[in-house]
Amino acid sequence: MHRNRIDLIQSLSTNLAPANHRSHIFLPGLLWFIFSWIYVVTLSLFLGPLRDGALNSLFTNPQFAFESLIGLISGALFCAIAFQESIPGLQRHWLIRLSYLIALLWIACYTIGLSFPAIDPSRVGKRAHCVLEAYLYSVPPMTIGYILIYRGFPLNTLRAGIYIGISAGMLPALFMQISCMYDPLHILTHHLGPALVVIFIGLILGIVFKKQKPIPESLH
Amino acid sequence: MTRLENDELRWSQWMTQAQQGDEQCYAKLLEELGDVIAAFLNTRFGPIYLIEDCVQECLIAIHSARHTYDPKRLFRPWFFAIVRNRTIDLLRSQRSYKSVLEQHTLKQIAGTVTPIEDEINKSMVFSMLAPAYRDVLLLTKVVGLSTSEAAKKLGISESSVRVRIHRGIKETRKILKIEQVER
Repeated sequence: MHRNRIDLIQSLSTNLAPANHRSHIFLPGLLWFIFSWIYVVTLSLFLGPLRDGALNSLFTNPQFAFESLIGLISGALFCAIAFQESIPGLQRHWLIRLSYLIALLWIACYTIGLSFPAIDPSRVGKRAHCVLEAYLYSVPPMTIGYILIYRGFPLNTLRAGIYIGISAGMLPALFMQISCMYDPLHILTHHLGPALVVIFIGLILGIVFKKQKPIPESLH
Repeated sequence: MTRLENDELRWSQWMTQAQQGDEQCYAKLLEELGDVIAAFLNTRFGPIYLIEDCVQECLIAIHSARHTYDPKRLFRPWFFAIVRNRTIDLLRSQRSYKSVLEQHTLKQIAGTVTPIEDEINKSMVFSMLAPAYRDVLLLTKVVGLSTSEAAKKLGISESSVRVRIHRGIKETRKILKIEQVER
């Protein structure tokens, strides 16, 4: 064996501290998703009311309910694949493809909605600063989510940043369905548009944290 | 029980004990994994000197990631994901290869090795790559030429060299996903 390798193994295995397990992704991912939703809903209700009749539309309008359900599933899927990134070898390509497919389907719902909207577009319930609110609702959960992922060992920090950025960006976009005005064009530009910026912030986090991959203390 | 199953069980047990702070098991595990990584890379890249750098990088990464291993899951997917990732990272950083040729030249002078090109060309990764990607990767990543030097040598533009490097590394990543280990 190479001499340096022997020294390296010696230094890595000497004074070995018990490891704090971070091998589970389901619970942290689920908790992140739930608490992020609680944060979005609480803050959103604090800043303004829901749109009149929006909740009722969820139960009476199948197209509107479908759009909302697809958005929720898409956010949850991206949360799952983001947290999968924290454990090496856990990534499932079919799940990644499915997540993108569902996200595209969600966007397609609004694109189709430009011609065939689920609800007649109107300015009822319009929030004055919905774009700023979208950032306010998504950036803190994304940062916390990224830190949780980084506590594992993401091999691709950029991809982890993108996935958690998409998931976090979808939270306000989805809640704005019922808390802001309904118009597919407004949704695409003012609710889903900010998600692109959030994804970009996630990417930046990925780049910054990539340079700070932990070096074992024993090698200092 | 097959050899692969035996390895799987043994590594998983050692890693579980290492997670509890067992130094001896951990040292044994790292020694064995070091040999496995070296064999894995040897069959894929041939006997080039990046392998020892790569083995040590991988061992450090395994150490950093040991808290993420779950004994309920298989060890090999976790382990090889780290090895593939670190290998590709190292392949991307040309700096790591600067000393490769120098070391090899010294050994060649001493008459201890065969021409590096012959051995590398026979390796799995380089033999499976398209000639265009192989030439560019060999010149920039193994020989250590700069992008402009490689472009001049191949008679193509610098941007073409960069594109081929990028695509070549992408192809290499795919080839490395074959997790067959020969020890």
